[in-house]
Amino acid sequence: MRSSKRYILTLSLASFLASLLIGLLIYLLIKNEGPFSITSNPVNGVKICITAGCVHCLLNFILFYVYAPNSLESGFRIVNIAKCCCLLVLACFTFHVIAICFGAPLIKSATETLHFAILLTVLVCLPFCLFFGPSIENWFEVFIDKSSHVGLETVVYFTSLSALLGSWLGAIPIPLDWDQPWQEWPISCVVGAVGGYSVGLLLSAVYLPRKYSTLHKSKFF
Amino acid sequence: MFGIKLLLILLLLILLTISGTLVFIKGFLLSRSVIETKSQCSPEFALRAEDHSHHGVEGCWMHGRFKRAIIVIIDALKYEFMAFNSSLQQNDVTHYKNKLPSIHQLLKRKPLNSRLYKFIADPPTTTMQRLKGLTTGSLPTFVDAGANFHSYAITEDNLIDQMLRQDKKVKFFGDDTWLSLFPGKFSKSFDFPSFDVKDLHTVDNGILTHIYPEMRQSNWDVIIAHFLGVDHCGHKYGPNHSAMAEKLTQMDAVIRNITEMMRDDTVLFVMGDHGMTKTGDHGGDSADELEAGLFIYSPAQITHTPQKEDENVAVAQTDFVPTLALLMGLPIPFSNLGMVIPELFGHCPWWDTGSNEIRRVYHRVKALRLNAQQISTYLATYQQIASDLPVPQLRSLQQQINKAESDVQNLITAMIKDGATDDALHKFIALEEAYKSYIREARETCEGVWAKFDLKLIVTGLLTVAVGVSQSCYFFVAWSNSDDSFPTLAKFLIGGSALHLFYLTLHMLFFPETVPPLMAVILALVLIFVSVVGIKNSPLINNIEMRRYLTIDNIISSLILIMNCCLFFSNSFIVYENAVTMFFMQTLIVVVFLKIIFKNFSVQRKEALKPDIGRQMRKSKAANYDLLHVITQPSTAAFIVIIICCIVLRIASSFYSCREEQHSCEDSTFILPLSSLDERTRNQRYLFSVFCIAAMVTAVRYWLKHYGNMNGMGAGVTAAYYGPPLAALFIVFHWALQALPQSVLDSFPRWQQVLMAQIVYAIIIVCLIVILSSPVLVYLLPTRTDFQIPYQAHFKHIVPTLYNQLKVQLSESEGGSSDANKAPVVYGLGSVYSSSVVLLVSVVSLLLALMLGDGIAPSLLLATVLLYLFLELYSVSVNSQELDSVNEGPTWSGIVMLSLLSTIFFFATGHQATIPSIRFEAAYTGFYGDFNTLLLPGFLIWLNTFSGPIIFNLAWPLLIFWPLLSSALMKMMVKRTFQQKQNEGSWKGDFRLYDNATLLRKHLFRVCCGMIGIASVKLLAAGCAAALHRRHLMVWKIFAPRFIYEAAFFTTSSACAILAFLFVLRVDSALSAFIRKLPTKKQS
Repeated sequence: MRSSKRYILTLSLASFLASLLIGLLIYLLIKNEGPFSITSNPVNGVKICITAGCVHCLLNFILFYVYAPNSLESGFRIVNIAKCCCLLVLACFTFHVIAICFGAPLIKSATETLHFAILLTVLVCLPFCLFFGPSIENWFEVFIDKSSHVGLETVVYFTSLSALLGSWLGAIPIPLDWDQPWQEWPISCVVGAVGGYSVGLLLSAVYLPRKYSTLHKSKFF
Repeated sequence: MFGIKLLLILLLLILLTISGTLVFIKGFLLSRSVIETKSQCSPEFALRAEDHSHHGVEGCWMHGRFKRAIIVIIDALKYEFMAFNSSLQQNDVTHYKNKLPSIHQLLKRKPLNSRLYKFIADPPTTTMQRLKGLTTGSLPTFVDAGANFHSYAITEDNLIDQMLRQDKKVKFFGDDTWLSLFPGKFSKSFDFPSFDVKDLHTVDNGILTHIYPEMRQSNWDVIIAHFLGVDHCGHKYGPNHSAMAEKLTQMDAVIRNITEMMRDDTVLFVMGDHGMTKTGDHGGDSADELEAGLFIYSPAQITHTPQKEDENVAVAQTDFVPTLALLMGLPIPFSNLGMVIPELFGHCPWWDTGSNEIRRVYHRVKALRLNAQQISTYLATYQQIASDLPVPQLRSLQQQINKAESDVQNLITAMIKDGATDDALHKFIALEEAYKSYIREARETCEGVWAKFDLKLIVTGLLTVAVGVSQSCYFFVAWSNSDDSFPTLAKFLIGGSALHLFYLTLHMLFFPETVPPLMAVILALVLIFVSVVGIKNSPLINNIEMRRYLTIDNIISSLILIMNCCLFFSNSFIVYENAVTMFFMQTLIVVVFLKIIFKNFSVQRKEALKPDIGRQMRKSKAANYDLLHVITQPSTAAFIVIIICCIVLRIASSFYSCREEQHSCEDSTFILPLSSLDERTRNQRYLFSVFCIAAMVTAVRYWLKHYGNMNGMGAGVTAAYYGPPLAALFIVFHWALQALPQSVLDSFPRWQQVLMAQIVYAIIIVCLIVILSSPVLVYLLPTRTDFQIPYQAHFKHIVPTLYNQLKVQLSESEGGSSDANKAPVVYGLGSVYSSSVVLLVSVVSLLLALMLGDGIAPSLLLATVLLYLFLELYSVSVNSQELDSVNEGPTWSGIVMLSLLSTIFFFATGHQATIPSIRFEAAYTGFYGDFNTLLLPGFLIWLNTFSGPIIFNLAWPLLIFWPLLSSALMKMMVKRTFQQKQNEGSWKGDFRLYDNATLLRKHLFRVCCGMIGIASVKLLAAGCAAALHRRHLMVWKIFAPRFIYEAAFFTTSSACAILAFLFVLRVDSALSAFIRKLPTKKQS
C-alpha cells in the first residue's frame, strides 16, 4: 500500500512536535521542585510519563485512523483486544522480572520497579499492539524485516528501540558517587526511557520524509 | 606435534603478559629505601641541649623517666573497646562496650598517672605492618602488605635494637610474628603460633601462665606481651559476640593484675595494633580499622594535668616510638617519623615542674627539639641515599628547624641573662608549636613521596602486556580455517616476542635501574604495530567472511568488553563491579535471545518461500491462536530458558559480600560460618547446603548417563561413578563437624578434626589421576549375540540400548551374520570429549565446594546450572543452517560471556577485590596448626578465592563440543528445517571432531587465544587505570588492589585454560588409542 505524501508529512511533523513536547516534559519533571518533581516523588513522575506515553499513542492512533484506516489489520475484534491486554500484562510482568534480574532491588522499591515496568510497556509494547494487533508476523515485519513500508511502522520501530536503549543507558550513572538525587533507582532509567522515546520520535521525524523520497523517487517541497 | 606447537605459542602469549605485569608491578608498587644506620647515644645536638644531665635516671639524649617498661599489645583492640561509656547499663546488649572497666577506674582514681588516647594506625592495618610501625616509627609501603605470611627481620633502626644497645633486657610473650621480625633479640621469649585464626585461647593462655612469674623476677627491663585472642575472636565471630565479652573481660583481668604488680620505676603501655571493622576484619583504612586505643599508666606521676572527662586525644601510632624512647632515656630510632606525646614530658619529678609552668613548657620543648633534630638528620641522610624527596620542601623544612634552633639558643641565653619572664613563657609556647609543626610537615612530606612510581618501568610493563593482547588478537583472527601452516607474519611475531622477552629479562637482571629500557619499548611498539597490520590484513577481516562474524551478539559482546575495560578507570564502578558485571551479563543473555529469535525467524521465512511447505504454514496460521501452539514455538521455549537463566544469575547475587565502600549493603548470610549461627538457622542452612551439593553431583551423573558415558567398568567410568558421590558424602560430614561449637570440637584429637577433609582430598586426587590416565568414558559392547543390559544403566536408558542392539542383530541376520563385518557398538562415543571435560569440571568443583565451606558452596550449584543453560543457549545461537557447525567453530561472543561469567562467580562466591576480603581461614580446611611452607596454604586460599573463575575457565572446551551434541533442550529452542530434521539419524555428536584432528586443535587454539586475550586486555585496562590514577586518593584502596586481583585473575584463567587445553589433547590421544584397538570395521 502506498502511503500518501500528506500522511507522511503530517506524521513527521507530529512526531517532531511530540518529541519536543516530551523533551520539555522531562525537563520540567527534573527541574521543578513541587509535588511532581521526579526526584522527590519518583512514582508520581513515572505516572505522568505513563500518561504522556498513552496520550501520544492515542493521538497517533487518531492520526492513523484518519489517514490510513484500511491498513488497520485486524480491526476492533474483542478477541484481539483481549489478547492485546493479556500481552501487555505479560510484557509488564516480564519487564518487571527483567529489571530485577538486571539488578533492581527485589523488595525494597517494588512499587517503583512496577511503575518502571508499566512505563516501558507503554512506550515499547502499547504502540505496537494498538497499531498492528497481537500478531507475531507483524512483529517480525516491523522489527526484524523492516518492511519497505514507511509510516507508523517506522515511528514504532524507532521509538521502541530507542526507549529500550535509553533505559539501558539510564542505568549507567546509578553506581557513580556524585550523590545526586536522580541517581536513585529508577529515576535515571525512567528519564533514559522517556528521553530515548523522544529521541526516537525525532529520528523518525527526520527519517520518514527521506526514506519516503528515496522509496518513491519524489521530492517533498 | 601440531598440538604441542600451539601449546608453545599459547605459553609465549601468557609469558608476555605475565612478564609485562611483573615489570609494571616493579615500577608501580615501590618501596621506600631502608637506611640501616642506627641512632647513636650521644650525638652532637643532644649534647648541646643537655643542661640538666644529672637528675633522674641516666639517659642518652635525655634523662630517662622510667627504668622499666611493660608493653601490652592486644591485637585489634579498638578505642571503642577501651573507652568507658558510663551512660550504658550494666547488662547492655553489645558484647564489646565497657568490658575493660579497670582502665576507667585507673583514669578516675589516678588521673595524673594515666592517660587514654585514640591510637591512629597507618594503613594497611595488618599486624606485621603495624609492628614494624610501632618499633621503627616509619611509614609502611604497599609492597610490604602482601608479606604478612612471610615476615622478614627488621633491619631498620628500631626500639628493640636501641634497648639492646643500652643493655636493657627484653622479655617477650605471645605472637611469634615478633620473633621473625626480631630474631634472637629477646633475652627470654615465650612465643606461640599466630596463623590459626580459629584458635582463640592458645596464645593468650600461654602468655598468662608465664607472664606473672616472669614479672616477679627482676632480670628484665622491658616486657612485651602480644595477646591475639581479641583479634581472632573478631575474625571468627565478629565484635558483637559473647566470646568477645569473655575475651575482653580476660584482658581486663590482665591489665588489673599487671597494674597491681607494677613498681614506681615502671611504665605500662596497653595498646591495640589496629582496630576492626563491624565484621571483625582488618587490613584496610576505614576509621574503624585505624582507630586503635592506647592506655598509658605508671604508679609514679607521669603528667601534670588530669585528662578531661570526655576528651579523646588522637595520637599517631608512630608517636609511640619517640615517646617510649625518650621516656626510657633511649635514643630515638633513626628513621622514626613520629612525634613525642608532649603531655608526658611536662612533668619531671626531679626539677619541680609542678609549680613552675615555664619549666614544664621547657621540658616539653626539649623533648620535641630532640625529636625534630632526629627527623632532620634522618631526612638529610635519606636524601643522600635516595634523592626522591622534593628539594624545595626539604629546604623550607630545613629553614624552619634552623630558625627554631636559633630561637632556642637566643631564648636560653636571654633567660640566663634576665631570668624567667612572662615573655619567655610565650616564646617557649611558640617554639613548642614551631617544633610540632616541623615534625608534622616532615611526616606529611614523606607520606606524599613514598608512594613513588618508576614511570619507565610502568610504561614498559604496560607495553609488554599490550604486546600480549595484540598478539592474542592476531592469533585469534589471523588464521583462516583452511590454512594449515603458520603464516610468515606469525613466525615473525613469535620470534619478535621471544626476543622482546629475552631483552626484558636481560634488562631487569643486569642493567642498573637508571637505564631506561629503550630497546624493549621500541621492540614492543614494533610488535604491536606489526600485529595490528597483521590483523587488518588477515583473511578473516578482508574476506566476505567478515560479514558472517558481524552478528549482533559478536558486536554487542565486543562493546560490553570495551565497557568492562573502561570500568577500571572509575572508582565507583570498581566499587560496584559485582552489580555492573551482572548487568552486562544479563544484557548479553538478552542479546543471545534476540539472535535466536532472528535465526528462527529467518528459518521460518525460508520455509515459507518453499511452495509446498508454505501452503502448509498458511493453513496452520489459523491455528496460530491456539495456546498450545504458541507455547511449543521454539522462540517461546527459548524465552522461557532465557528467563530462567536470568533469574538463576540474579539469585547468584545473594552470595555477594560487601566492600566497605558499598553503603547500605549487607553481607550475605551465607558468608557467616555455620558455628556462629543460632540452632534453627544452622540446621536449615546445613540441610540446604547438603541438598545443593547432592543436586550438583546428581545432575552431572544424570547427564553422563543420558549420553551413555556411565556404562562398563573402565577405570574412568568407575571413578566417575563412585568418586563424586563419595567425595560429596565426606564433604557433608566435614561440614557437620565444623558446625560443632569450638569447645566440643577441641575435645577431639586433631587428626579427627581434619580427617573428613583429608579423605575428600584423597578421593579427589585419586579421581583426577584416574581421569587423566583413562580419560575416555566409553564402553565397547562385547561382541556377543545375546542381549546385553549394560551395567548400571538407568531404567530409562535401557529401552534405547536394547533397541540399538536389536538393530545390530537384525542387520546381522540380514547380511548373513558373522563377527567380522559387524560394526562395534560403543556407548558414549557421541559425547566422548564433552563427557571427559564435564567429569573433570565436576570433580574440581567438588574440591572447590570443600574450600568454599558450607555457606558459599550452594553458589557452585548455581554455577553448574548456569553453565549448562548458557551452553545450551550458546549452542542454539551458533547452530546455523547453511554451514556445518564443525567448521564454523566457537564464536567470539561465547568466549566473552564465559569470561564475564567467571568474573561474576568470583563475586558470587563471596569475594571482593580488596585485601581484607581474602578468606585466610580456607587454609585450614583439612589441615591443622602451622605449615612448614607457605605453598600449600597459599594454594588452598587461591582455590577458595578464584573458585568461580576456575570452574568457568576449565569448562571452555565445552564451547566447541556442546553445540555438536544437539541436546533435546536445544532442539526445543531451535526452528529446524525439514532437511535438518531428516539428517538427525546420522547423529555423531562431538565424535565428528575426531575425524579432523587439525581442525580440533585449531578450534582449541582459537578459543584459548580468545580467553587469554580477554583476560590480558582486562589486565591491561586495570594496569592503565592504576597507572593513570597513581596520585588518586583511592589508589591504594581501590585501583591497586583491583589491579593485583586482575593480575591474579589473569594467571588463574590462563593457567586453567592451558590445563583444559592439555586435558583435551590427552583425551584425544587416549581416544585414538581406543579406536586403534577396536576390531577393524568393515564397510558393508
